[in-house]
Formats: sequence, structure tokens, C-alpha cells
Amino acid sequence: MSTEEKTKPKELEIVYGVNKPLDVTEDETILEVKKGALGLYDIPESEIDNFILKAKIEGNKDEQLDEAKTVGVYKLHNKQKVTLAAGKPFGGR
Amino acid sequence: MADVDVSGLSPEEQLKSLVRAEYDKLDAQSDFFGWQLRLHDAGDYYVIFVRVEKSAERVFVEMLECDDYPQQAPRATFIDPELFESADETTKPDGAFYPRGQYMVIDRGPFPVMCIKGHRDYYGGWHDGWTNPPAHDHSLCQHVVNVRNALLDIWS
Repeated sequence: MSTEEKTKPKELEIVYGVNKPLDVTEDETILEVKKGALGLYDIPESEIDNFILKAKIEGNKDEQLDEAKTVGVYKLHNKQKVTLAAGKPFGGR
Repeated sequence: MADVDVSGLSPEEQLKSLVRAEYDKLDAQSDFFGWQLRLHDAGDYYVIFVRVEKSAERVFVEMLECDDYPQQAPRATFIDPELFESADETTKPDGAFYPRGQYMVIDRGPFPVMCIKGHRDYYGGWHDGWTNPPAHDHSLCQHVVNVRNALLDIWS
């Protein structure tokens, strides 16, 4: 894959109540995408550990995305929906 | 919570319009999240029914009574999924159709209680976090997403 292809921009749809578009490149890590997603919804970056990103990678089942991997590794396609989900929606007893 | 123009509406209509706005967000994501929804008008308030199919044999229907939203979080229970199409505000919860597993607490009342943000029994001295309007991570819309994820990923 050429450098140009690797960095080809695409747009993901970040789902967090409503959908918002986020421009990304193939070589961006999921962690970088998550930072961008938090910014879309004005969520402080200090909250980053409270969120995860999920997407349908194979079939119809959501999968939590590994933050060390890149957009290209997951073959996320243009306009693909990626959920910004609460990493800790549960309370302690 | 999304801004909703409620000027000119009665107090009950204003509250219902806020619930309706949350419902519309859920409805817009139905294909993506794979849930089925029903919005029942109980007069002064709405009841939302959310059907999530974990497998052909295990289907859940969460009933969300939004009778004092956003002053209070919606009351959340689970009902017989066979009643999804006909249920209304009088439909009773049924313990046989509650999810089981981690974060389902069984010693807080006659039915299990989800230890998950965004429903009435989660607060009330058990946890903090409910505000009017609710923060996004406690909102009705986000509650349904969280419950759907828990049903598919960790509950049985």
C-alpha cells in the first residue's frame, strides 16, 4: 500500500445519541479517533478512559476496537458508523 | 440533552416533548443498533418499550415509564416479550424475563435491579449522578444504548 493510500482521508459517523462525522485517515490509531470523537461532543479529554469505541467489523456484532490498532487495520470504510460507548456504564455496589 | 423548543406547551406537553426527543434519537438508530421500539402515550406521559433480541430463544423487552422525566429518571422494568405489541402503562414486570448476570442486583426489591446508569432505581440514595437535565451519559437515549450493549455482551 502506498503512503498516499495509507493516509487517504475518510469520514466515519460517530454515534453518540446523534451521529456526527469525523474525518480520519487510514494510519490513525483508534485512540486518536476516540480523542477526535470526544471533541465532537465537547467531552473533556480527561474523560477518555470512560469511553470505548465499538463498530461492526465482522457480521452484525459490535466489537470493541483496540486503541493501539489503526483505522486501516480494521478496514473501517467511508461513512461507517462507530459507536462512542460508555466504558463504565455500571455503578459500583 | 438536545435543545427542544417547548414554548407554548403545557407543563405535561413540555415534559413529553423532551421524552419524544430522546425517543426520536433512539428511533433514528434502530437499524444500526438492531432494537425495536414502541412509544405508548399514557396521557400525561410516555412509556417506551425497547425490544432487544439476544438470540431466537432469548428476547428482552425493557419498559421505560417516563412519568416524571427529566425531573426523575425513567422507571425501568422488564416484561414478557410476547406483550411487546400490546403493552401499556398497566403492564406488569415479570421476573422470568429479566436479564441475569453481573450488575443485576437481586436484593433490592421484588425484581432484580440493573446497576446501570439512567433509570430511577439506580439513583435514590444508591448512586449519584442524576441531574435535570441529565448529562448525556445518564440520558434516556444513552441508557438504552448501555442496556442493549449489556444484554448482548454480558447478560443472559
